[in-house]
Amino acid sequence: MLLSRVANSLYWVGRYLERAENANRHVVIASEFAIELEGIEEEIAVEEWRSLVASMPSGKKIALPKSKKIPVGSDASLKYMVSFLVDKDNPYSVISSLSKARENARAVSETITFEITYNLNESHRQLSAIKPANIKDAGVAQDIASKTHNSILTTLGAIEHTLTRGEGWNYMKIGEALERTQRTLFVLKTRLPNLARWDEDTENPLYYASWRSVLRSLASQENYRQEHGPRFDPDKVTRYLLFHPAAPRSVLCGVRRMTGYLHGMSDSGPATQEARRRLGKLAAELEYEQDEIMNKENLIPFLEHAIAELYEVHESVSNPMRLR
Amino acid sequence: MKWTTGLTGFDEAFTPDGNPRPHYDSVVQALGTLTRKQIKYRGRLQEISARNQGITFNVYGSDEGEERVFPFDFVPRIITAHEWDHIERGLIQRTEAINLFLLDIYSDQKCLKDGLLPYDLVLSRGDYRRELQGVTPPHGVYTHVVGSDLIRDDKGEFLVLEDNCRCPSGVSYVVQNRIALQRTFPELFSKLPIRPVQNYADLLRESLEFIAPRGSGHGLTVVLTPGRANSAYFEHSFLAREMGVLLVEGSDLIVEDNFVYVRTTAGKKQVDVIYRRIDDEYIDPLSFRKDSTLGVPGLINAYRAGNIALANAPGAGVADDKAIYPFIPEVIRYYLREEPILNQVPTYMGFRADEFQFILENLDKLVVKQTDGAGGYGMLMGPQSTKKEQQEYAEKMKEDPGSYIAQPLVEISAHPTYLDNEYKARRLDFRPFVLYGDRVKILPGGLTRVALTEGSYVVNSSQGGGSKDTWVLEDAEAQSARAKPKPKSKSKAKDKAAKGGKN
Repeated sequence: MLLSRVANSLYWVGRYLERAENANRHVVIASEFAIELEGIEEEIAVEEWRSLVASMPSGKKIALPKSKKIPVGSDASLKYMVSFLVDKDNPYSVISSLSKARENARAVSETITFEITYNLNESHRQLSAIKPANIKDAGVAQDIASKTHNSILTTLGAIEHTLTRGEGWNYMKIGEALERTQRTLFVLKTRLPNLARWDEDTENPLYYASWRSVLRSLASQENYRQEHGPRFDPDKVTRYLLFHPAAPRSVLCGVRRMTGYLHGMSDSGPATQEARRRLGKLAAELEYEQDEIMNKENLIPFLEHAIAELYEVHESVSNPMRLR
Repeated sequence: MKWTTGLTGFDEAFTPDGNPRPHYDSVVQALGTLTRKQIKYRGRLQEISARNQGITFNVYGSDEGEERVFPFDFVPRIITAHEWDHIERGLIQRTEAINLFLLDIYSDQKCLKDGLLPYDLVLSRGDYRRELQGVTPPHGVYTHVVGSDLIRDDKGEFLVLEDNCRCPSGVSYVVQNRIALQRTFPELFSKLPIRPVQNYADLLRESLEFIAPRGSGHGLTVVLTPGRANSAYFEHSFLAREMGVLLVEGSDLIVEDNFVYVRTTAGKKQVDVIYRRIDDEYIDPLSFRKDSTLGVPGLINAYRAGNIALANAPGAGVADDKAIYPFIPEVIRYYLREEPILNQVPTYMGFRADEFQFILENLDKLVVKQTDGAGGYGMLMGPQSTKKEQQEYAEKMKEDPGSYIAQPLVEISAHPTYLDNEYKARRLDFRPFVLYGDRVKILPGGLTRVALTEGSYVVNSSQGGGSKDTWVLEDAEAQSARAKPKPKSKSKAKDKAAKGGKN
C-alpha cells in the first residue's frame, strides 16, 4: 500500500537524483571541453557553458557569474563549475538537486531503506560542507565533481540493490526515466543547431570535440562507439540518441521504460490512462516515423513536441493525490 | 584520564570515597584504556553516522538551521537489576492508577464526588476534554505510551518528576544510542549482562494492534505526524519504519461517515489505529483548534463512534498536568489501595492560598513551574535566580496563581560525562517508556538526558542537554535461567521423519 503523498515524494526523489547526476556529469564534461578548447577557440569554450545553461528547462533563471561581461578562459569555467556544483541559488546545481532529493526522501524516509537514506545524506553532507570560496581552481572543482559523482552513483546503487520493486519503486523510477529522457531531448534541442555548423568540416578539431561532448554529457560515448565505431556521424549520433531501443539515454528507451513503470502502478485513474496514451503515441512515432523525424525541418519541432508530451506525462504522474 | 565525581548530590558511578560502584567497574576500566585521540575519532564517527542516518531534531526558532544532532555522551548510565525492579513495579502501578483515574474522570467522576481532587481544579485543566465526557476508549486504556521523567535525589532514590501522557518523545534515541554505542565503543559491552532495547517497535505495535476496533490484531495501524517541521519528526519516521506501518500526515487521512481512511495510490483504505504524535489541540479542527492544518477534520467524531482507536486517547493529557501531579500518590491509594512504590517530589500548589503564599515567600529556594509548561521553558530556578527575576516572576504568578506549582530544588544525581577531554560529573534525569496494551509493559532502558553545562539542572534537548545510552542489567536469576540448556524436544515432523513417515 502506498500513500499518494509518498508516491509523489518518491517520484521527486527519482527526478532530483537523476538531475543531480546529470548536472554533475555535465559539469565535468563541459569543464574538460572548455579546458581543451581554451587555447584553440576561447569563445567556443565559453559557449559550451552557455549551451549547458540553455539546455536547462528554465535556463534563464540561472544566475550567471557576477561580472557583467561573461569572462572567458579558465576563470569563466571555474565560475560556471562553482555555480553548477555548490551554488544553492542555481536551481540546477548539484547541491540544489541533492538538497531537494534529500528533502523528499526525508519526508518518506520510513518507506526507503537505511542504505539509501545514509548514502543520500552522506552525499549531501559532503557537498554542502564545501564553501564556494574554497574552490580556488578548476582542478579542485574537478576533484569535487568526481567525488560527488561517485557518491551519487553509490546512492543510486543503494536504490538498485535495496529497494523493494513495489509501487514506490515504480514512482521513483518513472521520475528518473522522465528526467533522463527530458535531458536528452533538451540537450539535442540546444546543441543540434550549433553543431550543424561543423557538418561539412569533419577535419576541424571542434567538430570532433563538440560531438564527443554531446555524447559524453549523455553518458553515451562508449555505447555509441560499440554500435557505430569511433567516427561521430551527426545523423547516426542523433538517431542513436533518439531511437535506439536499448541505449539507456535514448528517448525511445526512456519512453518505453516509463510505459513499463506506469503498468506497474495500481492507480488506473484517468490521468494515468492519459499518461499511458501519450507515451504510447510517442513510442509509436519514435519507432515508425524515424525518417520523417530526422528530416531537417521536422527535427527541432519534434523535439519540442516530445518535450511538451513529457510535460503532460509529468503532470499526470507527479500528483496522484490530485486524482483522489 | 581524570574523572571528576559529583561534588553535590548522588554520583551514580562513584562512591563518596571516589571508587567506582561495582556495576560501573568494568566500564570505568575499559574507558581508562582509551586515549583522547581514540575517543575523539570515535566521537566524530558517531556524529557523522547520526547525521547520515538523519538522527536529528529541529529546534523551533533556532537560527542555526533546521536540523541538529542531539549530543550523545558515550559514558553509559547503568541501572542495576534491583533498581530496575523497583522502577518497573512503581511505573506499572502508577500507569494503572492513572488510567483508572482518567476512566473515572471521563465517566462517573467518582474521585471528584469523593473529594479526592477538587472539581474546579480538574475540570479547568486545559487538557481536560469536556467533548469526550462519557466516551470510553477501547479496553478503557487512555495512555498507551507514557514517558515518565524520573530523577534521583541526593540519597540516590528514584523520584517521579512528571508523567508524560500525551505524546512523549525520545524513544528513538533510546534505540539509536544503543546502536551508536555498540558501533563506536564495542569493548564496553563485554563484561555486563545488558538487557536489549531494540524490540521496542514490536512491543509498541503489539500494544497498538490490541486496541483495533475491528478486533485485536486486525486492521490498519498508522503513525500520524505533524510533518517534517516537527522537532520529533525523525522519531515518527523511525517508529513507522521499525513497526512497518504507514507514516501519515493529517492531509493523508479523510473521514467519511465516521470512518477514517488513508489516501493511497490504489484508492481509500480504512484505518483502524492511529498512533498520533499530534497533540489533542491540533488533532481535529472540527472539535478543537479550528485553525489547525495538521489534524484531520471529523476524527474525533469517528473516535466517538468507536470506529478508530487513537493512541494515546484524546483527553489523556489531563493526567500529566502539573497541577494534577501532586495528587497522584493519593490517586494510587484511592484506586489500587496500595502505597505508591515510587515516591515523587513534594509539590506546593498555587491554587491553594496558603501554599501560594509560601511559594511567594520562598521563591529563592524553590523551582516554580507553570502547570501547562513543558520543555523547561517558563520556569524559575529559584536558587539560581536573581532578586529581580524573582520579583518579576512573582508579579506574573499573582495574575493567575492556579497556573503555578513549586517544588524544592532536588539535588539531582550526577554522572561522569566526557567533556573537554575529561570525565566530568553532570546532572541527569531518566525517561523510561511505559506501554499499555493488554497489560503494562516497560522497555528495560530509557532516555537518559544529561545537562552538559556545569552546574545546570536543565537537561532538555532544546536547552543544551545531551543524552546517554542507558543500560538495565539483567538479574542473576534471569541470567542463569537463560544460560541453562533447554531440553531438546523433537518436533512432530522430525519424529515422523525419524520413523520414516511422510510429511
